[in-house]
Amino acid sequence: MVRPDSLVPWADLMPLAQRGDREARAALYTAFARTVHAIALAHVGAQHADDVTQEVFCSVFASLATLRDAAALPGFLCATARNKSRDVLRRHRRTPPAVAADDLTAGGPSPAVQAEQKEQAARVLACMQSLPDAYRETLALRLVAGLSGHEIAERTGLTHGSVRVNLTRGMALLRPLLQAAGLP
Amino acid sequence: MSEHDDYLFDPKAAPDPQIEALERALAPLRWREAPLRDAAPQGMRRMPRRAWPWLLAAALLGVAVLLFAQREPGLHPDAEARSFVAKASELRIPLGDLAVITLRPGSELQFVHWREQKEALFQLTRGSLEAKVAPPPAVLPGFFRVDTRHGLVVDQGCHYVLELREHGDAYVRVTEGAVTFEARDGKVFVPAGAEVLVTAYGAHTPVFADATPELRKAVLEYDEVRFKKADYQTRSMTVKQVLAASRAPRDSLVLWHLLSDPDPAFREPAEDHLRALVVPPDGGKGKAQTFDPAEWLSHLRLHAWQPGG
Repeated sequence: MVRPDSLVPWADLMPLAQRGDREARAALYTAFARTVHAIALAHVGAQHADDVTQEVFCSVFASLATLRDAAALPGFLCATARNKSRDVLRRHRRTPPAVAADDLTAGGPSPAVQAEQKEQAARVLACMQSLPDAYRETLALRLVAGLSGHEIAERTGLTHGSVRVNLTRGMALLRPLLQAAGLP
Repeated sequence: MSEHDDYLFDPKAAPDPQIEALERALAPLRWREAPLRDAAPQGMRRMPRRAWPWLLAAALLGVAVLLFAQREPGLHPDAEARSFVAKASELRIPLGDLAVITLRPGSELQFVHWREQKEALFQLTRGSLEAKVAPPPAVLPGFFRVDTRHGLVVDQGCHYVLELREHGDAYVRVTEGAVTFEARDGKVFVPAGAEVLVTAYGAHTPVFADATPELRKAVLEYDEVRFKKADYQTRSMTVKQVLAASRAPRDSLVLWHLLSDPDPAFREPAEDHLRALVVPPDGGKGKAQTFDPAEWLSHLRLHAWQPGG
């Protein structure tokens, strides 16, 4: 049984996943979906991040059998997420983000409050999206996906040192932008 | 490392109020777990004995459905993502009246999605395919796309062949119309009669199939030093070789791509040479001027790149 966020067995799942085993692929999806989604979010925003995430896994699983080095999977997923995000950006230039009524979850805060929360989230994300790619992605992985620095390193192939640098420098650049925008 | 950085790196450290506030603010954007849409094939499992007759019946039914699907595996807008595999024989996949893909034996194609009036997206994972796409206005340029490991083939209204070679390299040969190939290092334009190879390094410069061996060799060397980001002198030598080997109006396909070279020192002689091979968009009247690559493109498509031109 694979614990949803455990990365230790993912390398063990690769031979099965490469042969098309559904459970193995589902486990890889569970292990990496948050990571891919955060990277997509950092580039294309909330409107398209879900679609990009699905397309990334669809694309990667379709060519998984040709991946010679199983250890390259995290890097491959991240690179595919960036490429798919670029494709979306090319196709949907300047599409303003919108809060769709059916995005609002039932229960919890009122629709008006939910819309306000989403709008604030979009504004914070917009500040992050103005940062260099490496910083915005790593910040999204930490602040949106909630991954620790160690987990970010495992899931992206970055070194721990690079993750620390990206987070620290990213936040140093982000703080004044948030302040200027009147955000937390 | 400061306290702020501790919590930034490790959510289990003492919380930093500002970072926590950001996490709360961004919470609405978190990944909401959704099932993977891709239907991966089932792995092999042991079945109890009494299940075998039912399994056999289901298999026979499955074969019947598969045979039917092989004869008419047509797609429609909003269809679910699925795989197409051509084993011993070709597989014909129609998209209504808009396009037909013929998957060659030993090939696998993933249908990703078809968003009406936006795009139909596929991914070729192995082998080769032939695509025939209705020209505008039936299918607008850019609608029909096939993704490969190193880039995306975007139809501009045409008929083309796409082959995956070793290491995932993609080879495209266009027989009618044109495609653009969007690779990591940029986009190339491939008109009817031309071909292009795209590798992990990027897209090579397209050439017409009837280009001379001298031009092909010069283009290959130009691309190789470009991919390796060689020094100016080395690159300059390869550009000169390309210009020297470009003698026919159809060689302007290569020169047109040189108009997008990052170095203006190479773009300018390329345009000068282009003007020598093909009457420029202004008819050659008046003072020589630089034209936008887009202006050259529409001009060259009409006057230099037609079959037999």
